[in-house]
Amino acid sequence: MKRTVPLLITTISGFLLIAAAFIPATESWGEVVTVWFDILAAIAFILGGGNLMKVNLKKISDRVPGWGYAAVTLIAFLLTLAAGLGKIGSPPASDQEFYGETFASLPAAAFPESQVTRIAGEIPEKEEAQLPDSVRRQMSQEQGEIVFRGWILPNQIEDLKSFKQTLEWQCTVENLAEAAQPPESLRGKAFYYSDHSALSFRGVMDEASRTELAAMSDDTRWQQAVDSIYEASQKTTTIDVDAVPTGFAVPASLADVVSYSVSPQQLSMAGPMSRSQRDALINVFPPLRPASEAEIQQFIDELNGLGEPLTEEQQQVVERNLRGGWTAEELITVLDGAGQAQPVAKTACEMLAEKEQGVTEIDPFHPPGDDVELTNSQQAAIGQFANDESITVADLVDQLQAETFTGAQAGAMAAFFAASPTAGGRGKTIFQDLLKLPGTNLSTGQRDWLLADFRSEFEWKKSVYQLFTAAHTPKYTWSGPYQSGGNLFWWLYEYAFKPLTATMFAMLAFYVASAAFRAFRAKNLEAILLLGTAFIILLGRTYIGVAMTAWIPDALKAFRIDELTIYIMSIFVTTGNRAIMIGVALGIASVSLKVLLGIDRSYLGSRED
Amino acid sequence: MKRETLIWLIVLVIAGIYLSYRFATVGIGSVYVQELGGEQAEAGVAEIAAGTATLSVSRTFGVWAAAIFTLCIFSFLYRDNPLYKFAESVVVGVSAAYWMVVQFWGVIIPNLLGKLWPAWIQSWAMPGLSPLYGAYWYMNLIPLALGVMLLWRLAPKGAWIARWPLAFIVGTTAGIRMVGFIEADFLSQIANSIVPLVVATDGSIDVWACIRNWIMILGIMACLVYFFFSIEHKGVVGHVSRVGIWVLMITFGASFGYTVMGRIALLAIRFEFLFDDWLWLIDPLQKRVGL
Repeated sequence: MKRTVPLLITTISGFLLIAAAFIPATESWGEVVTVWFDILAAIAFILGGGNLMKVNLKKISDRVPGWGYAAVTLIAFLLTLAAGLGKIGSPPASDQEFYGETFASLPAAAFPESQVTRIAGEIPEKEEAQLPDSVRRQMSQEQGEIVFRGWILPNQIEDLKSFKQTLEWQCTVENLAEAAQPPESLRGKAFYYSDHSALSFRGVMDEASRTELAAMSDDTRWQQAVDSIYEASQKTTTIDVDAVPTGFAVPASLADVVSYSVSPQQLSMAGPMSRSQRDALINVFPPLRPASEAEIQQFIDELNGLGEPLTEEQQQVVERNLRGGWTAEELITVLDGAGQAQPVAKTACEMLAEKEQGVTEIDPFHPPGDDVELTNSQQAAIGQFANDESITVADLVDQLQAETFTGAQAGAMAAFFAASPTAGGRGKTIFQDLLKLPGTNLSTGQRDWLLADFRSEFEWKKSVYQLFTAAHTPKYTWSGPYQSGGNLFWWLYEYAFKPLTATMFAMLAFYVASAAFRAFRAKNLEAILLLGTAFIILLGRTYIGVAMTAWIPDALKAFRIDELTIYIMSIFVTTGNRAIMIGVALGIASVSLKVLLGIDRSYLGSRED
Repeated sequence: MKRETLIWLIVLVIAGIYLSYRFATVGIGSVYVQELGGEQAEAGVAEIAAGTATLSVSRTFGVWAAAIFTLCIFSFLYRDNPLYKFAESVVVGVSAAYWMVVQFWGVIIPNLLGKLWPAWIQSWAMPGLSPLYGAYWYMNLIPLALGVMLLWRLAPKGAWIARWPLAFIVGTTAGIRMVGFIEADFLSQIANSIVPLVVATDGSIDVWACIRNWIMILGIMACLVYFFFSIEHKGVVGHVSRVGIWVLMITFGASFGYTVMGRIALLAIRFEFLFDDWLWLIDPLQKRVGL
């Protein structure tokens, strides 16, 4: 029991992995054993930690000489452990949170029967594979129909589509995706997350939505969930803001939920805020227009008036930055590019219909339509926008949409302006570029003037983020990474673990050098070869070494130290390492076989226990 | 007080005064951060000048702590001393806990507990995990049991129980290593060593490539002869194995050179940290120009 079973375990686990490498049918066994190995290796770290505590506690308890250091070890260990396991200071993982939505717990069984979708079809049977995890609780086969309890989510549609790659099944999934939706008035607002057993509502739930949802079921749990979401989504979050952008007006898309009061300066949000709402509120700063010569001169004059006048070189830096924005021609090119017609993929049902009609070679795309290019008047509107700051982006969009203007073009224009610098970004870049020039000494007035827009943009961004965070109720507070920037565990890693271990390794440089000094004596050919190679490699990796032999003419460049280093590494070191690796591999194979066959049992320890 | 202690005390006091003066006047070791939505990013001169960055007390303290830890370790170059022992104790404690935490969140939670209790783990640790049991989930009770048996080593009695999981670890290591080394080292190295002994490029013989390949083949054969201990290294075998030793000596010399350079690079990084991030005596990346 104490020795035979471990021997059997060693042999079975080892040979299982060897078999998995050669027999495809046993590949999954090998994967399972490897995962178990990883788990046990991880538990071995816990054993190591436990052992460390045991040893150090004993030292402290016995008051052995140096027990104080044992206490230091123990404190450092426990502090790091608590910080890491407790994720102290880690915010919830932003990619796991549902921003802009309000949740209420609801088991799948309480989902209204009126919302259960039934469509004709059959769930395909697949050997060794169950339905995807994301739909398993909601989907079933009943009396020749596919039944789906809940409203299907985009990730569930994708999971189902990849479950079986046949047109028939893909078409069934498309039909299911069309049918398993909430009523039209609630689409895009109400969701059911089966994995989280939660009903969710995006934004503020109005009275009509509440009534419509409540009418779906008399189940108390459903009623409570709807009421709970209604109450929670009515919450209004208000924060004080120090500064608002000049001429600020709440974007039209947010007018229903965001409000701003001038006195006191406060920003309010009704209900939770989504990421897109946050970004829309942040990006209220108009994109910069291309600067004219007069504007550039005015900029330089103002800067000169606030401190020491700029030198010629500094003026060039400023001019380069001011001219470096976008141009009307660039925007027109981007929009024309976005207007090029793209082929649209056919649905599976469309392809299935073609297949049933006898089409043998089915084209998965519809033929692309006509390209859309900007008309002369649209181009003129863009030119006018580039030169007239009184025209807003919204005005420009209105003008462009008066004629043919596709959604892709609108998206491309939004991306173009999002990538364009704002006044704050440009001021900051000029400030940084000026500082890079030697001898630049900007006055306080010049600094403040250059960075004023950047400061106000950042303060606004900070306020919006504050509102975004305050309006959100975290669903999974402990989901953040254990090592998130700025938390205690990160601090211990960054300022204790990393410098200490790096310095310990760095210190080996001294010991290696001193050991080499004592050990290396050029007393025979072998020692000369070792010493000479080390010397060449060391010199070849330094500037001085390369400089020492740089004078050697090109005809004899093979004798330059950097070239010699390359030859040694590519020929002799490769040769030696190859032989060593072959030898090591044979050694490991033989030792492994000895262990697996029970010839080497040293790992079992003595027979005493 | 011993004379040596007195000298060190004076040195430390002078260093302390200098550092305090530099911190008060220049702010050495200070770290500024710009915070947005709960996330901190290290700030540059522009952010500091604009007033959008704030002094991070924890990070500034961290830089000072890291610098003092670095000096404590370096103090061992003089001789073993309490400062070094203190730093050594900290690194032992922190690194043991660090790896424990990494393994706990990286392996034990997703691969073991997440499979045995998926709904529970999903509810607090891994929202992205499916709350449903996977196929053959109960098989994960085996590594759980082996893990508990491994931890039994900490108990005063029954240490032999830990032999079972240990045997599993030894067996799987042997299996993984054997296959891995045979495939990656043995076979692939032999395959890479099968090179043409006469290399022709564009119709003419590439003499240099021929010499290189000959040296490589003969060198590998000579080294392998040296590793073959079943016959006595005398006569021809002795001469060939001697050539093998020469090749190995060149390899070891190059490895030694690289190791030393690697350590010196690490040393340079530590000095850069001390003189740049902490003392602000150098600024190779121009991080503080205009501050």
